[in-house]
Amino acid sequence: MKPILEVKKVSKLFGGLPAVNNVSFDLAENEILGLIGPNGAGKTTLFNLISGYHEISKGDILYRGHKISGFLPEQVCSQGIVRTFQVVKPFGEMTVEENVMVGAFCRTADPNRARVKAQETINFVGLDKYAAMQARNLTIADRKRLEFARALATEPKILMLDEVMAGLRPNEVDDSLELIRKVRASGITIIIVEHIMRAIMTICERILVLDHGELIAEGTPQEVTSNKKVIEAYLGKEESADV
Amino acid sequence: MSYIKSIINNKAKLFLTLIAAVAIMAMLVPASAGNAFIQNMIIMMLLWAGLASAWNIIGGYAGQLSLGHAGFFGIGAYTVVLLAVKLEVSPWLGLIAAVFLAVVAAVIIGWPCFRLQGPFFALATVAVGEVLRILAINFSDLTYGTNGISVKMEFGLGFMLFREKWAYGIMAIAFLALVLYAVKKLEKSRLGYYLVAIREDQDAARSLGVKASRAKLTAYMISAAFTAIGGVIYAQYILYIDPDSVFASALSMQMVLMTIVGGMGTLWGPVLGAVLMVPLDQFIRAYFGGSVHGLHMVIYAVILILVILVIPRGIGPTLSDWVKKYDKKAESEGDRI
Repeated sequence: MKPILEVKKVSKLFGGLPAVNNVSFDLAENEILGLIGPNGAGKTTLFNLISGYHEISKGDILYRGHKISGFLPEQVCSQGIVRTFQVVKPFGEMTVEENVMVGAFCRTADPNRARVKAQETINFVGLDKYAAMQARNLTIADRKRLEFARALATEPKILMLDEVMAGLRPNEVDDSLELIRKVRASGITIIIVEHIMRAIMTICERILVLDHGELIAEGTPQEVTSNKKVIEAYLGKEESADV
Repeated sequence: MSYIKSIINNKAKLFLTLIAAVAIMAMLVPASAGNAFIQNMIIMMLLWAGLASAWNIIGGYAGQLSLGHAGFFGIGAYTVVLLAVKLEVSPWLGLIAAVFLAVVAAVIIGWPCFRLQGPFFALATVAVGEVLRILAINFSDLTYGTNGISVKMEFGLGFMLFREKWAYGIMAIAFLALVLYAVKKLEKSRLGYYLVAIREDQDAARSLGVKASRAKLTAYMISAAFTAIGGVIYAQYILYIDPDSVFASALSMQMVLMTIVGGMGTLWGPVLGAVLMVPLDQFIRAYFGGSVHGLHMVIYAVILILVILVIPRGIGPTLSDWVKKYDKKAESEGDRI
């Protein structure tokens, strides 16, 4: 089957320093792809490139066969690719429902339909108790849920989650995993950046490992965790550990 | 009966009805109808409420600090007066031309600036406001420069010029009602949601498909159009304009400050700001203006600083929070009994 997203030899240079270097991968329809790597490996930069926040220095990104590199963030979103932010960005002065409505307006100009869509999405992620609450009063876990709900309300085909589980308690992580499975079941393809290994290992079918902007490994969770390069990237080489 | 009930239940409607009632009474009741000072103050209050509400669209809802709205005000005033004086165009047609020119100016300023984030827009608006004032002074062949222009004295509805003050009162009420109606519509529309989202976090908004620069530009055009209408009414009321009165940066500041004091990004904030600050301004001017030159400005500034320090969200939202708290308290006490 043709991949839904193709990343082809993409590089991003910041003042000559490559943050993402010659990265290529395909995303199959309806899979859950994990993206891991040590801090500063370029995971968020890669997200920014796909979602249009950074201009690509070299390479191409294709969505269902047509080029989307060079698109503005709002254009990428209306194509059906939506991302969340590692540092959550709620619209603080709006209620939870209004926050999600902003996402729903991506597909309709009618406020009543947007409201209905927002209510459905809020129920789906389990924020219904807080629908009328101002977003700035939410706890961190609920803010992440809100980020999730807003993105879902845009009716995406690809959902990119940037550390949606960081800082959550174990039971909240389980809730999130449950939610991600539900989203996938509804036919959405997911790319997920995460530091919590337990989460990544249980939910992803395939994992990419980035280090210093380069793709160093790719495979199933088992393959990746036993890969020597990956272990070195996280823990350092054995010789240096001896010293 | 049901209409009265709905008015009482809806605080916003109640507030509007009260303002309109007080304004109309003050215009028509003989005791105050003879008092030009009070009549003038009420007309100014309504006009400023409309202007601040127009500024609120781009400054309050969209969070884009425009410090040059006097530019649109002046464009409105000069367009209508020059067309009438030089080409004998009816002010009603002049009004349309004024709105058109203000919208064009908004596009010229907003188009390049809204692509950028940061202080560029605010800086550009300061510059454009000043440049327009200087142009109006220097292009004296067209604008009569610092001599200013007097409105042609032809009275009647067709000339938008009246001998009676109450007619201007009605015009100002109509202007305010028009702006508030538009803001109310905006609040409930997609554009309204988009503007608030952009104000709260532009990156997040764009990731959700919000065309940020287009939304900001649209808001700026609407705001400019209403501000120009305010300028037209001002010119027809004062009957004389010059660059320093209609392009003054102090006008821009007034629109900003009234909105901040009353409550930015709320429907009633700018109206409340105008209702409080126009009389305050006139009072301070009347009592302190004569004694030490500039003292009234100092007192005005001190009051402003205090308001902004103590209630940064503005008087409107702070008051409505109090009312809500009081309601809750009353409710829970009611439960106990």
